[in-house]
Amino acid sequence: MSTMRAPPVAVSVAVAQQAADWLTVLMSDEASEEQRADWLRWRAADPEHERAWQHIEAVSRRFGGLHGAAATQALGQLERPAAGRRRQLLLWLGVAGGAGLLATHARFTPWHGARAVLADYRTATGERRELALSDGSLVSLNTASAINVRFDGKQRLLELLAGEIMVISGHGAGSSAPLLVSTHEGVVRALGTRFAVRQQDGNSSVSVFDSAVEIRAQDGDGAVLFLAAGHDARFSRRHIDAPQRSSAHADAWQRGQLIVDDVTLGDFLAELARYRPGVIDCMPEVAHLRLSGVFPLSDTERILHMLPNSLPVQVRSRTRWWITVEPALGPL
Amino acid sequence: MPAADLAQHQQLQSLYASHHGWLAGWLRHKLGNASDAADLAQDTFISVLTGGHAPQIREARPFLATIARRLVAHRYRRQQLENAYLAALACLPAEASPGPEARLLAIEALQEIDAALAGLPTPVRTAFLLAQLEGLSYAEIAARLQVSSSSVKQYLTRANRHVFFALPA
Repeated sequence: MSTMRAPPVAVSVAVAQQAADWLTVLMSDEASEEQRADWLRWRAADPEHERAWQHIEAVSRRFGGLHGAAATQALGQLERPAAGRRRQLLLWLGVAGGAGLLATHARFTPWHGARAVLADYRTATGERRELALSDGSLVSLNTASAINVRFDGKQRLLELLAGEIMVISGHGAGSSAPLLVSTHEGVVRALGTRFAVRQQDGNSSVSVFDSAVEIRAQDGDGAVLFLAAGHDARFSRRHIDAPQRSSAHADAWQRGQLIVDDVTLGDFLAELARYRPGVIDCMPEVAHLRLSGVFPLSDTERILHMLPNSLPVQVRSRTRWWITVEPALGPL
Repeated sequence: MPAADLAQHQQLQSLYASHHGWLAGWLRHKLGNASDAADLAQDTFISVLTGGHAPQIREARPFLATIARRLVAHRYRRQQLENAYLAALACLPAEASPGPEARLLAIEALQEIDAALAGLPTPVRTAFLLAQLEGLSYAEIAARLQVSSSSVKQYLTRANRHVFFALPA
């Protein structure tokens, strides 16, 4: 007989479905930074959510014990088992269900990236793309990014819906109209220039590489920040933070590189996670370790597997989607 | 032992005493193997005991035969899965063959996935296997199945909802 196992977690059907839907979102090449943030918020919102998610992680780890191709072949070549023959639906109805459950369900919108999906131009996770616009401007889309292009003679507007773009403003036809990049939080106006704009969760950030831009927060009472080359600024709908000096390598992504100088492993992995589908878990014991280096974004798998060469960590990939970076075993 | 349990226990005792010999014989005839038959006869009674059906049993032998048939099919499918998995492993270049414990865990996981996928249409099953076990991207799966990316997403939404919470951790 097969060994007995603990029954699945006690979670409601609605929460189980939400957890499963998050998995579907995270595994796609299109999960935006905002969706990832929404997913983390969803997990934190209720212990039941976290339980459901942990269950998904645990089941995924068991899949990792299988050889993928062989398992697919074995399961694929058998006839379909008869429907309902011995199907156990082991979902437990949550005891605490009721009204609270419905409320949670109504707030749950993993597909709020629908606008980004319908965008004029977009990139998948890990993809980069260059566009030449009608006015001669060049736009690079970083990983998991989406823009609409709205040029109408009066203005040249790029709507950044998700991710990050680098703009090199052009001087061709129609270039006398102002060149603007809008985000959820405000508008960045080019003053003849090269700059990058990133849409993050609840705020936007701008890095200027040549000349300058003007930033206007959406609800900022008309206040404008003039941001010169070599600086970054972050802004919310109401407020623009003071400019900071940019890292020398803020535009490295455009060349397919991730360049870091003395950052924590936790921050590094969070950045790396933008470029690959799935989940990277960094155990708190190693999150404070620091590293520097130049990493090719075209092969994030290799970056992860090289980490133990320079840090006392081990990287476990149970499946392609689930990476855990944890303390190395044995004497350090 | 509470009275209800005691009654059930006695009923099971008498079920066992009256029908175990018959069931083992029936299975031996069906399987042509005495030791498998003895195992499955045992498993059948364990399944009755853990299923808590005993009090409602009227037609004992058809009932036992139904359970035993299910266990035979289950074992047969497990055997098929195991053979197919090991054969697939053997064909892969330089793949170390798994140790006995890893193999047992793998077969158990395969069997559970197989059961959890029951009732899903073939493309949904395939999309799930390619994504979860082989780690293909949605675009790669779409190309393999010759469907759109949004169909792949729909398949996986359905499969992930269906499978993950039907499986033990």
